[in-house]
Amino acid sequence: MSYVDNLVSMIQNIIDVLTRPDAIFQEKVKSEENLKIPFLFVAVVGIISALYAYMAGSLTSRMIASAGAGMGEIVAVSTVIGAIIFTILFWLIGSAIFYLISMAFKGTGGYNRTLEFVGYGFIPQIFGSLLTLIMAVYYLPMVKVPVVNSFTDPVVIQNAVTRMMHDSAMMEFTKVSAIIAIIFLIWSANIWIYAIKYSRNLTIKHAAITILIPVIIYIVYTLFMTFVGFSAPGGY
Amino acid sequence: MKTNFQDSLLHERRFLLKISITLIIVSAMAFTALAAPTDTSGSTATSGSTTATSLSPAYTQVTVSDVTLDPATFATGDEGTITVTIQNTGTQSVTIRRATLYSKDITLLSETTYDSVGSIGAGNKMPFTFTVKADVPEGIYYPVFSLEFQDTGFLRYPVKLEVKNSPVVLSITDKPDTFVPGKKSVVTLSLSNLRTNAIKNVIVSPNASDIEIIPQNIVINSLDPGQTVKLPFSITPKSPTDIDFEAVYLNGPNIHQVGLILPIQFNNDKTQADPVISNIVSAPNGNHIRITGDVTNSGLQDAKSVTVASGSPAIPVDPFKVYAVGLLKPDDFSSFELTVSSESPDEVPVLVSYKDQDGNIYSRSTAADISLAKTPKNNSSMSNAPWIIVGIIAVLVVLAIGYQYIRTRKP
Repeated sequence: MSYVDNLVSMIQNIIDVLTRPDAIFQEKVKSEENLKIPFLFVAVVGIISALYAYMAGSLTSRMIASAGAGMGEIVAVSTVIGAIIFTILFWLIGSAIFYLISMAFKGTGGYNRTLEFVGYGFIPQIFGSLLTLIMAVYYLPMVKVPVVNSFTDPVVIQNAVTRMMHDSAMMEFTKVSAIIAIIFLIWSANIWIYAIKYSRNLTIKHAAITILIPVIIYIVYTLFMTFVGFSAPGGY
Repeated sequence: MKTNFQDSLLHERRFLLKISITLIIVSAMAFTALAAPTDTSGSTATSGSTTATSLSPAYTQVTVSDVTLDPATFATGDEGTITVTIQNTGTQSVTIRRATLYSKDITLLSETTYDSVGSIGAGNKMPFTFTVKADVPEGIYYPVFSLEFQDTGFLRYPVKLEVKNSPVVLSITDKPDTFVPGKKSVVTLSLSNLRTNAIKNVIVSPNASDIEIIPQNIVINSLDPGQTVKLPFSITPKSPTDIDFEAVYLNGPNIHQVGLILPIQFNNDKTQADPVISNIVSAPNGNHIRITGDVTNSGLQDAKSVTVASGSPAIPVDPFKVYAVGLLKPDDFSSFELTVSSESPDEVPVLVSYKDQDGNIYSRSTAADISLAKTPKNNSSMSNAPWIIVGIIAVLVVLAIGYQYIRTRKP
C-alpha cells in the first residue's frame, strides 16, 4: 500500500472510531494486539499539548526572567518534556485504572489490549488539544505577567504566581480550556466505554460504570478547581 | 766742688732709672689690660665660645650649649621665645653681670629680664629666655645673644631666626556632585602643613545653620611639616546654605586660622534612583477597578522599599490597596497591581515611593486614566467569540455522540 492509501486508511479508521466505536472495536478485538497506532494518537496529543505547554511555560519564563540567563529556557524545556510525559502517563495510568475497575466486573482480556483500545479513545483529545492550543494563542498574549525580582522570599513568588493566575485573560483561558477538556473527555469516555467493553469482555452497562466513575470524578474535580478553587489551566 | 758735681750726677741717674722702671711697669700693665678683651671677642666671633687655656680667666670657660626657638619658624607678626642655655665648663664660678639679646630687626619684648644675673657655678647650666616679636618680612635674621661678665670680658652669640609665611592649606578633596535635601553626603577636606615647622592643637570645625554635620569638629594634636590629613564630614543639609570650615592652629604660642567656604546648593542627584511608572492598564475587576503597570528603576542607585499606591482622590480597596515591590536595583523593573473603587475619578494618581540608603523617602506621582475600565464590559479587549466556539464544539460533539448511538442501534 502506498502512503496515500495508508493515510486514507488511517482517516477512515479515525472516522470509524468516532462514529461507530462499537463496530470497530468488535472487529479489532479479533485481530492481533497492535499498540503502534494508539501510541501514534497519544503521541500526537502529547506533541500538541507540548506546544501549548511551551506557550504557558514562556509566561513563567517571563515571570522569573530576572533569575538569570538560561532560566527561561530551562522552564520551557521542562514544560515541553513534562507535557509529553504527562500525556503518555495519562494513557498508561488511565488504562490501568479502567483495567482495575473492570476487574470488579470479572472482566477478562489483557492490559495490552486495554491499552490499545483506550489509546484509540485519545482521538477526540487530538481535536481538544488543537482547540486548546488555538485558545492559548488567543488568550495567553493578553496575560499580564508579573516579574519576580526576589527569589529568596517565597511569599513574593507566590504572590506573583497568584497574580498571574488571577489575570482576567488567564482566568478566562482557564475556564475555556477546562470546558474544552471536559467536552472532549466526554467524547473520549464515550469511545472508552466500547473500548473497555471489548478489551475486557464486559457488558455495556459494566463498561459504562468502569469508565464513568473515574471520568465523572475527574470532571467534578476539574470544574471545582476551575470555578471554585484554583488549578493550572487546560489539562484533561 | 768736684764732690757736689758727682752727687748731682748720681742723683740724676737714679731719677732716670726710676722713670724708666715706672714706664716699663706702666707699659706692661697697659699691654696686659689691652691684650685680654681682644682675645675673648675674637674667639666668640669665630667659634661661639671662649677659648679655654690653662692660663685664661675663668669666664672664658663659659659656652653656649643650646639654643631653642618657639616656634621653630616664625611667621610675620608672630611672638615667640628664644632660649639660650649657657654652660660653665670651667672649674671656677663665674659671675655674670647681665644678659641681653639685641637685633635691629627683631623686637625684644623682655628687655630688662636679665639686667642682673649672678654667678654660674662650675659645670652648671643656665638658660636665658627672651620673648621676641618678629614684625619683619620673610627672611633669616640673626639677633645676637650677649653675656657680660662681672670682671671683664663678654660673650656674644648670634642666634638664627627664620621668618617664613608658608601657609597651612585647607582644601576640599572629595564631595558629592550635588546635594539633596535630607540626604547624607560625605565631604572630605584635607589639611596640609606647608610650613617648615610642626603646628599644634589643630581644630577643624564647620559652622553653618540648619544643617547636620558629623563630627562637629576634628582635633589634631600635631601636624608635622609636609604632612596632610584627610578630614571626612558627614553632611545632611536641610536647606541651601554655606558651610564655613575653619581650621585653628598654634604656631608656637600664636593662634592662626585658615578658612574655607563650601556652598551647599541643591540639585537633583544625577545618580539617584528614579522609579518610572509605565505600561499602566486599568480593567474592571468585579465591582472594583484593577490598575496594573510596571515600575522601572531608571536611576543609577538602588531604590529600596519601593511601594506603589493610589493617591487621593482615588479610593483604594482590597486586596491591593498598596503594592509592595521591595528593592529595585538600577535598570530592574517590577509589575504592580492596585485595586481602586469604581467610584474613583476617571484620573487617579499612582504614587510610587522609595527610600534611599539613608532612609530618606522620595515619591513620584503618575496619573492613570481609568475611565475605560468604567465602561461596560463589552468594550473589553477580550470578546465572547471563544465561548461561542466552545458552545458550537460542544453541540457538535453531542451531535457526533448522538449520531454514533443512532448508528449503533441500527441493526
